[in-house]
Amino acid sequence: MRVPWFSKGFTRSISCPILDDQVEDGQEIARTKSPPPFYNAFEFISSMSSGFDLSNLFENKRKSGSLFTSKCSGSTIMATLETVAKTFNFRVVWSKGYKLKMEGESEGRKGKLAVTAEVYEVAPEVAVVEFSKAAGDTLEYKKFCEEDARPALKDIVWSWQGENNCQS
Amino acid sequence: MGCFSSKKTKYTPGYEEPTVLASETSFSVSEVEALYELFKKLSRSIIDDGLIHKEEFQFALFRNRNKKNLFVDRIFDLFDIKRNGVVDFGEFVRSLSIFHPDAPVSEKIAFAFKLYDLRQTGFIERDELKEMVVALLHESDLILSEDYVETIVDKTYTDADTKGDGRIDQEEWKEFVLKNPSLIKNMTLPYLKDITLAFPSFVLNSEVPDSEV
Repeated sequence: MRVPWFSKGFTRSISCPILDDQVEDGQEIARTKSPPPFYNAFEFISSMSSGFDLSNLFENKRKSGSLFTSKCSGSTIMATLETVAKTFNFRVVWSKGYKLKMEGESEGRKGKLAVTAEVYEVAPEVAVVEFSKAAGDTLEYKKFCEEDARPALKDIVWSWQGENNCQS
Repeated sequence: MGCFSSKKTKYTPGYEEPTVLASETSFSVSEVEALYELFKKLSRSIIDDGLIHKEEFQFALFRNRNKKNLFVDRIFDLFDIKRNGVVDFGEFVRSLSIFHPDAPVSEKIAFAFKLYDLRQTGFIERDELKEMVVALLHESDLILSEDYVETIVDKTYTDADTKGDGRIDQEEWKEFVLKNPSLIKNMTLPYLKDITLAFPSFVLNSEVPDSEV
């Protein structure tokens, strides 16, 4: 298979995990018929660039990314996200097309943490996944992204927003 | 009330009164005062002259004074309203005001347009968009083939260039943003609403302090 891209210093294998059908058949069929919605270049630039992100002027810590790129297919990403949800005892509230919402089972400081994830396509085989907090405490959300989701998603993540910017 | 320095306060070059800045921007007087604390911190990080130099801006955004970045260059150029190579307090507040949650959306749309109009021709040309995509990939250490970059640029352009004249003008940009509001999400910093909590002014005053003549 001709690979049109590579990451600098990339050494691990390129293959994406092949997952068993863990989604409803209806969804799986719908996803294979149409790709994720297009993520246009301006969207890509404004979300991924740290240069355009002035919140770094105010925050002392490196901001935790809630956006990553992936070279896996939209349906693989969705299936992986659903698996991650179950791993951390999140209930998938709904999953439609390339969007899903998951809700934690335990009550956090501000109620149950709810997270939405949306998959977009920048180019064939280049996807962008955006997390956002739908409900609950922001610190718990950040902790979930950084400590739980990040390691669990490493097999499908190509690059996290804001990475590779700290080299001197 | 805390300690109050009895020596006369020396303001940074280009300082403008908080009341003046508040009346002309989306900030309140106490928010402007809080921004002054942030401004002082940023403007003395490398060169202690009370002005923000590009290196200091780069340092603030990347924790790396030498990191060259197309997007930082654009933002810095737009903040440098007087075009003299440095950003003073007045310019800092007036530019940041556009990022305030309460600032008019039309200002945000116009600012974003100027950001992307790399050569300030009044249009976002196709090669400018391509240059930005390439710069972003470089910044993120991602490499995509030329074909893929072209595909991304083509598809975006098809959506945005509704007049089909090969360039995006301000009107087309405005329509494009109204259809895709998330395009300007980086033009709002919710943090600015809580700025007084992060940078409390150490001098509690109800009257405007004397400024240097």
